[in-house]
Amino acid sequence: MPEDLFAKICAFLTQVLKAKGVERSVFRPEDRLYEDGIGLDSLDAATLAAMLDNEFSADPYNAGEFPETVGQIVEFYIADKAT
Amino acid sequence: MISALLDSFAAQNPRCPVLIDARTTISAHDASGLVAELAEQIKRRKQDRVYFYAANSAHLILGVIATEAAGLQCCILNRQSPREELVTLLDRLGAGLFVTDSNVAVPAAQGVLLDDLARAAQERPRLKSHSVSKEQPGTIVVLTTGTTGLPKAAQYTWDRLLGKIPAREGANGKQWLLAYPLNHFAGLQVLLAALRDQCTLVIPEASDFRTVIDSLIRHEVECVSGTPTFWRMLAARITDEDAQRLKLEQITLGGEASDEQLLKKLKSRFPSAAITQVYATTEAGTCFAVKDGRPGFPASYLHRRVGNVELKIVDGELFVRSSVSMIGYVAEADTMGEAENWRATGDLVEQSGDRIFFRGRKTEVINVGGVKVHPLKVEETVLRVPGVSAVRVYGAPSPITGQIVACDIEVEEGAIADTVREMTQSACAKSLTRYEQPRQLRIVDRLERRNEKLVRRRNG
Repeated sequence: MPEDLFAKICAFLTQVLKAKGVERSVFRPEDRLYEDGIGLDSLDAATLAAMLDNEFSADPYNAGEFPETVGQIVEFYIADKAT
Repeated sequence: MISALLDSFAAQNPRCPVLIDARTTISAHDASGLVAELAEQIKRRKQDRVYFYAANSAHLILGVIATEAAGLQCCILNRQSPREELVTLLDRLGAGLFVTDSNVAVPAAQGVLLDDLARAAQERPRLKSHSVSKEQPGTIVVLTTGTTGLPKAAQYTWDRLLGKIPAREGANGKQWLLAYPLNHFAGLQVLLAALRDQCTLVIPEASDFRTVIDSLIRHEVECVSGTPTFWRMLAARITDEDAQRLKLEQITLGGEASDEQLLKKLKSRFPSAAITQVYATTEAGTCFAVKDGRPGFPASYLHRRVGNVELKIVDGELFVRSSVSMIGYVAEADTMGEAENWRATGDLVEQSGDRIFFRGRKTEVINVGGVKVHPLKVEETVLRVPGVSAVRVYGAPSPITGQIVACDIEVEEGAIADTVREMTQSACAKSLTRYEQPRQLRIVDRLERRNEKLVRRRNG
């Protein structure tokens, strides 16, 4: 798993959580994204999608996928599904 | 009227649960008695208007019904609104009783804790007569996004609200989930439909989807109404095992336009459920329902009366004429004022073959997951941040919530962009609800000047 890609996605997650008053900067690929894990709700997921799209010009949500874990976001870009 | 629905429910099915929340299950008989006592408790406070600032709960619903039983005006506030917004709003709408589950106090209103009211009512259950004297019918005020960013208050009689809700065959005795906050127009519609059809209303303990799915399964919920954003998240989050355990019969969508991809996904995920899309506005109420599982609505609706409304398109915008719309705005004139009671909806539509499709909003209002956000309010908050010289707030498309609030900022000379960004995020978090906060914030060298009206400048 490319470290810089993973680090970038973790940085976005940190920003999203910070906006809702949660301090967290360490994530693992297997961490679940929503209420049974990191705790993203629909607004948080929409924010994350916008950040990813802004950074990579594509994101899994806009591609019709719904990643369940941090690792699945990374895999989306590794698989080059964006293109 | 809404209390009469509950009394009728209690008379015909006294033991049937009418409300289930995390703390309690209340039968129709007990609910009817509690409402009568709550109405007396509220009347003793000698206020004509009752504000509720509380999260969804059985007690909130009983309190709302009690205001109608007492012949008072009821206004349910957005539980996410910050205190400073509440102060401004209540100053405009007038004094009243402020019933809350929080420690927020508002100078213009007499405060009381919802739990204290409920406890007092429970200690004095009425055993004989459930009737409460009232001098006039109670009314309900529904807050909607105003052109200035401060909510407008649309006033309805309860029977007008109910008159618009389409009746469904075989609807009696079902389990409904309350997925909307009760201050939302659609939340009131769910409450009224559930009472009219003598259904049980299940109120999830929290709004996260694991809790919602658990509630659906545990209480064998058959009917759910939610925004397309709600359904996108639910359909994505639910496991195959969960889906097999659900007993969904009725899926209702409203608050924003549904897209074909979502409708197809719901059909494949919940093949035995009927899918209904409801088109409603806060001012005109529920206008019509579409049940064919396709986005948009049939063009034939333009040529005949549908439900309580007539429809027409003028310059690409959908207009409705409703026989039972709101009474008017509280503390504000109704400036819509179209000829012959036609009301502009602000929704842009386009005909393609035999179908009318929604194509966005004519106004600048941003629809974030069914919650309307006016850019002006966000812009005013951002412009107060030191270092911001100009701002443009707009809706950016989102695959999850339909739109998100996006914000472009021009900083003053000498200001540090990262500092301005952080201060802006902090100011928005303090003054705006989560739906209103910009989810995409860009610092730009120079804002687009093609349409100067869209750019707001400090002191200009």
